[in-house]
Amino acid sequence: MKLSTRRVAQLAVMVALLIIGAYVSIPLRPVPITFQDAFVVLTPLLLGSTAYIAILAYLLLGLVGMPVFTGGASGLVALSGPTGGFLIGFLLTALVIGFLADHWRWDSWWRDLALAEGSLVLIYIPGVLWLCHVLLLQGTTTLAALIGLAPILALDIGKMAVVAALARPLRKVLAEG
Amino acid sequence: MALSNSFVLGQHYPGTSLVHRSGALVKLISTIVLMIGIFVATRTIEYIPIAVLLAIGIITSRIPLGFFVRGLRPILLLIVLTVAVQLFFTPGRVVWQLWFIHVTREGLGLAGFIMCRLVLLTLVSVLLTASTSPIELTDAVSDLLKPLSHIGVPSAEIALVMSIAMRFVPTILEETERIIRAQVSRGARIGEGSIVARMKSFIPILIPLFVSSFRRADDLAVAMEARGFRVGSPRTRYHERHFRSSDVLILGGTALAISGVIVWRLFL
Repeated sequence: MKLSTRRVAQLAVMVALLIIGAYVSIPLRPVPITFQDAFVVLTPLLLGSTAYIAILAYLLLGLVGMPVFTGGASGLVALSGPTGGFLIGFLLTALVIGFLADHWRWDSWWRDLALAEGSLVLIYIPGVLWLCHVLLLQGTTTLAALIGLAPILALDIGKMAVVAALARPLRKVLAEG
Repeated sequence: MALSNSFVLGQHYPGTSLVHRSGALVKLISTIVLMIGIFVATRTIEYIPIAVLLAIGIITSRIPLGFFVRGLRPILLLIVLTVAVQLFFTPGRVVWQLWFIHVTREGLGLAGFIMCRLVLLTLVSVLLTASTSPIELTDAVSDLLKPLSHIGVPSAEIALVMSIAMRFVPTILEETERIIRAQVSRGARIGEGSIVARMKSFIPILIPLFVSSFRRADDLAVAMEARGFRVGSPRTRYHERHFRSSDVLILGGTALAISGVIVWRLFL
């Protein structure tokens, strides 16, 4: 898709939302949740194959030291730290889901749900692999880490349903303008 | 609703020191080179050349030390976690033992090494962002990405997206708080009830937030086009920068520190 001025402005606003989504934590017992991954998945659902520009800009802002990641982390430390794989997963999601969103034209909540839940796979695989690599986890410790991640994954699956519910009405808003 | 309002753009500490005056692109490149150097080193002692250069940079920048200490705060948990993992799970000669916890000599060494790595990585990027304004920094990123435009990555637009996004964060954060208050005053119950109900309760906040944000984007696009912005057409800069002697100093220092690390790694 060719970039227009309007799309550039939309991408910029989306990046601002990504930053806020990572920053604002909502005290949802027992763990406070952020909307970071929800907004990341929403980006390709709304902006299609241009979504990678937003995610790339977001990651670069973090890389040069702006405190844009969850918990105010930034720089190569955030990218190379234990959760850095998830950040790479974000870029992968934007590329793959963005491409799929452009080419799979089925205007239904089910499509958005399938893409959103599928993107969790794209985020978690590099995330978990890198986590194990950095913390030098092996065998039983890996299993323990995976069990620790299970409640977060359950919450994420729920969040993706919210994302799918948001995607269709918001795409309409974007198309109007 | 605990909206953490801590997103202060106080990352930049304006000044006129040598470090401030040198070019953003030069500083960005030397930061990246130093970070690679930090990853290449395999022993704590190899960090000495980088630490010395960093100390010189911090002192000459005349940025208060508290600024750097504050920059370390976000990674405190990360440091504690990684150090704990290395300390307790590295096999080797046991030097201290309590019930099932063993601390080994090798574990101590590894923990110290990883701590130095994380602290140095953070301080290098804090020095970069503290001494460079966000605008200069995004321009530098765009310069650095320029080669990628040959394979279709819109480097100039990425930099533009970065700087507009930073500008919009405070505005949209304010908007978020307003929407939450408006919905609560209409009787919305946010974060109450079952997990499903709580999840659903965010929809009445997120929809207006996105709608108003994208409306802002439309206004911005109109304003940009009215001022002659076209995607893909070359842009000029208000402040043209030329190579200065301070740039040479920074590049020279970086080259010296990196060769120090390499020599140390290979021959000592």
